[in-house]
Amino acid sequence: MIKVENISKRFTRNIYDAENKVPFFKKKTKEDFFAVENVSLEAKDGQILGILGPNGAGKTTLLRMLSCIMEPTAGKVIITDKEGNLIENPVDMKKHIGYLSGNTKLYNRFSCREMLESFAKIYGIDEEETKKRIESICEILEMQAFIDNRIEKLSTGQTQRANIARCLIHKPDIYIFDEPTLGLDVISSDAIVNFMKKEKENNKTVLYSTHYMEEAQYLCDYIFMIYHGHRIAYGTPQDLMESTETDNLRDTFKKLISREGEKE
Amino acid sequence: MKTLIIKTLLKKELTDIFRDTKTIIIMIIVPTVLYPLIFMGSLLLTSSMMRESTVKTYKVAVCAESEDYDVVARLLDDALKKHEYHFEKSKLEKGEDYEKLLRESVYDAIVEIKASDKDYPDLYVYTLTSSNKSSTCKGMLKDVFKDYSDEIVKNRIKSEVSDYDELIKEPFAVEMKDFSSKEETTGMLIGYIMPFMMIISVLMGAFTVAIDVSVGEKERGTLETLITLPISNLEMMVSKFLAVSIFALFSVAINLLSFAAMGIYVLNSVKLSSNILGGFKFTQFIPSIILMIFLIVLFAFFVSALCLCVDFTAQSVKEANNYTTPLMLILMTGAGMSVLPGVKLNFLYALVPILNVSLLIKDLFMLKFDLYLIAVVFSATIIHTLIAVFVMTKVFSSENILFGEGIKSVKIFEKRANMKDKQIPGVGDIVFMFALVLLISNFAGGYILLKFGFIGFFVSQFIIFLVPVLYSWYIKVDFVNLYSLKAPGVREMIGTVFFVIGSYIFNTVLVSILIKYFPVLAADNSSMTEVVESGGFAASLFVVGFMPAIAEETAFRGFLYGTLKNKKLPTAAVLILTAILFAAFHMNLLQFIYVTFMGLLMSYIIYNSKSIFTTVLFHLINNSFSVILQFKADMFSNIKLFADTEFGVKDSLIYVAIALAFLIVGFIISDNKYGPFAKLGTHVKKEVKG
Repeated sequence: MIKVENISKRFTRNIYDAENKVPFFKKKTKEDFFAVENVSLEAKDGQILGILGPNGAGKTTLLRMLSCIMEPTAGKVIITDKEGNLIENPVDMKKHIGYLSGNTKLYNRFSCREMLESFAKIYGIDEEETKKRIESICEILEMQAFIDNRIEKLSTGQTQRANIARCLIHKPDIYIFDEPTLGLDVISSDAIVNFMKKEKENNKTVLYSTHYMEEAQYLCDYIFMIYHGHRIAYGTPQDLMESTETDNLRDTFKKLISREGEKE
Repeated sequence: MKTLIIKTLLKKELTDIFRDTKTIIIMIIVPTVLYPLIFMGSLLLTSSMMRESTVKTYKVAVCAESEDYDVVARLLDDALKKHEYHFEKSKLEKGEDYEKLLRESVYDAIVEIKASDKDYPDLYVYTLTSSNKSSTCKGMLKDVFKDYSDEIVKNRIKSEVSDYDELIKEPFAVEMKDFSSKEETTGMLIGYIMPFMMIISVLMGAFTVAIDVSVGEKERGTLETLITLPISNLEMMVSKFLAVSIFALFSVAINLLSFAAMGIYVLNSVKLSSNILGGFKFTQFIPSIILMIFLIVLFAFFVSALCLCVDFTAQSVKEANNYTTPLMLILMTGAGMSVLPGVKLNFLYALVPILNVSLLIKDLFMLKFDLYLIAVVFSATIIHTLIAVFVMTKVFSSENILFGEGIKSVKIFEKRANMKDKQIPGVGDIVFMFALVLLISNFAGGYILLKFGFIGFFVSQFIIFLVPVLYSWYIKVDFVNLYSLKAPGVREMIGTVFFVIGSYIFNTVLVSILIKYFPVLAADNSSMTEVVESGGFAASLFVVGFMPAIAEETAFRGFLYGTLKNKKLPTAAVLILTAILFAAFHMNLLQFIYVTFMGLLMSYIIYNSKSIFTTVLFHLINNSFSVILQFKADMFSNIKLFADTEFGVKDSLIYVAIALAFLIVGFIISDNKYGPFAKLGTHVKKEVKG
């Protein structure tokens, strides 16, 4: 289970003052802003939670904080294992999470097998077990053909599969995927969607963000909508559609966003 | 920190680096192919140039009457036998345009003979100095005519005096004897090349790879993948640091091998070996080489940490390159300075990074083994490395490298209006603040100290006080917390008095022992004492007794300790670090040793009392007493401890026992954790860290 309570992340950005021009340079002032502000959410075992929002809404920041690679300015991430024990240490928390995003690139000069082996060693998995896991991952993701190729030689779809293999090697309880199907063909993205469904049946938790509304509507148990760092909706896809009186998630999304825009 | 994780990460880093074929090829090809090529090429070039200049024929035109022409022609022909000068002579009619002929390179020189009222006619030599060949020809003609003139003078004297042969005998003989052994001569040659080569090869290895593993990894997007793994910040930093160091050493190894191979080749092929290197024993250099290897390993660590610090502040590879170029220039200047005449390794230079390493390598190959300076250079390099590694691991975290939030722990670069109230400085602030203090007090204080002597002390103490206070004001620190501004308890003040007495007795004995066994240590100290004495009693009491108690406490027990105590560091580390940095700040080996003990005691005192006023009192009593002792020595002449400078074993032991007794009593009175009076105090509550 993964839970966050009142989590916030503050960044500083430069604001350039167009009026106050110094030759060659624009006068800049610094301003703090919240990429994510006071967000709480919870995903239980065996659930798929979809995180939706327009570009720049704070999805990636939220997912980074959930996967413990970014420290929140305020609030805390709470992770419990299958037995319900609380995990305290952020380094140990990472052992329970498989994180994938467009920014998690792989080492080009390694082969898939070498990469998986060295990662497994860091997770503290012994060699016998590693071998077995690599074999089973190969089967699940159909990677036998290119497992010993250097990553720089792989195609986009193959690289994405290798990236997912990396998330699987330590058998995490929680998957956090940031737009995993972005830019993939139908076959590759179907493979990933099916993988998420299968892991849900294995009682794993999946959090993922996407821009494909149909995919989210079909896949997610719960939807979390974020806009300008704030939660604007949270519930099952059905609930959300009913509350906005629409019959598909795409319209729900548009309606909620425009409603928020009017408020501001 | 788990070794298995570090090992795996290090293997990953090294595999990644060594599979980058381009870097490796450059790394290997430059020393193994390029260096020998450049070396052989320049050797060939010089030898061919030398040959060319001797074999070349120079065209000389002579403008003269026929009999004068014959004389000049004979002189030019004789020059071949005498100097191996080749001249091609021709006769020139009067009234030609000499300049034009020379400019068109028809002739290299023109000699005109003009009759004069003396026995011999005058010679006019026309040349073009701007032309290389003509200029050489000019020199040659000078030699030729000088010889002729000497010959004439000789003949004149011969005809006048009868005992000419007696007169020209050498009045005395000059015998040259060189005491340098063959090894020293060779060592000097190597000593000039080696430091530069070693430092350059460390830099070459470290620079590219440091960029690659830091911002390079960020730009390639693999850093985000790396930190999804369950590894701590420290583990990641250490493995990256080790990878860069190992690669720098790999570069050194290749360079050294290439250098050795080239040396052996030159020795075998060129006749140099018989002239300069006859009876040369390589074994003499083995200690030098071993020491150099140890030194270079330390130096590689230092440069790697330094490069990583610089590269982690950059947002992109391009930016990192921009930052490292000036750094590389500075480091190379340091390396190059060692070959300047008059720059010799001494205590002060032994503390300067890079320069100390290059000077020591030079000395080692010149077979100068000054154990004291070797020890200073090694310890200085170790301290520099530790500081660089500490900064690297504390100032940067994977998160702010990855998401480009800059150096969080240096707060000064923010506008004051944007500062949060009551903040605590970061580790980066410590580095920045002390760099400022050192810079200002070294430049301003050092200059004033040279010019005005005593006032320099005053100024530098003032700076040590002012900089941290202004810095703290600017970043709006929590003054009460940072500077431990809290009224001390009575018990703690009384305890401090006991501590200072114990410490003073102990240090007096320690210093006497140190000076007895390491007389070199006293030298640095005595110059200090002289300057202090020049100020007079009252002024000395103020500047040496009172001011450091305020200024140094503000900087060290205030800013430094105050920052560290708020970080997630083990208490022991905070106390020891404060003490060592405080001692190192004294820039004097003798003081470093005993101030470390004193610093540890003072760290304990402030940790125990949580009030800066206790250590101010300690510092005040300690320094004032030493000033009083220096000026009013006669007051203490009947106390053996202060009157004598050397103690026997028995006396030393007694004094140490007395010192320990004072320290123990101080501890019993003031300690708030184990002391019997702990419950009496109000400061029992443990301070919450965070």
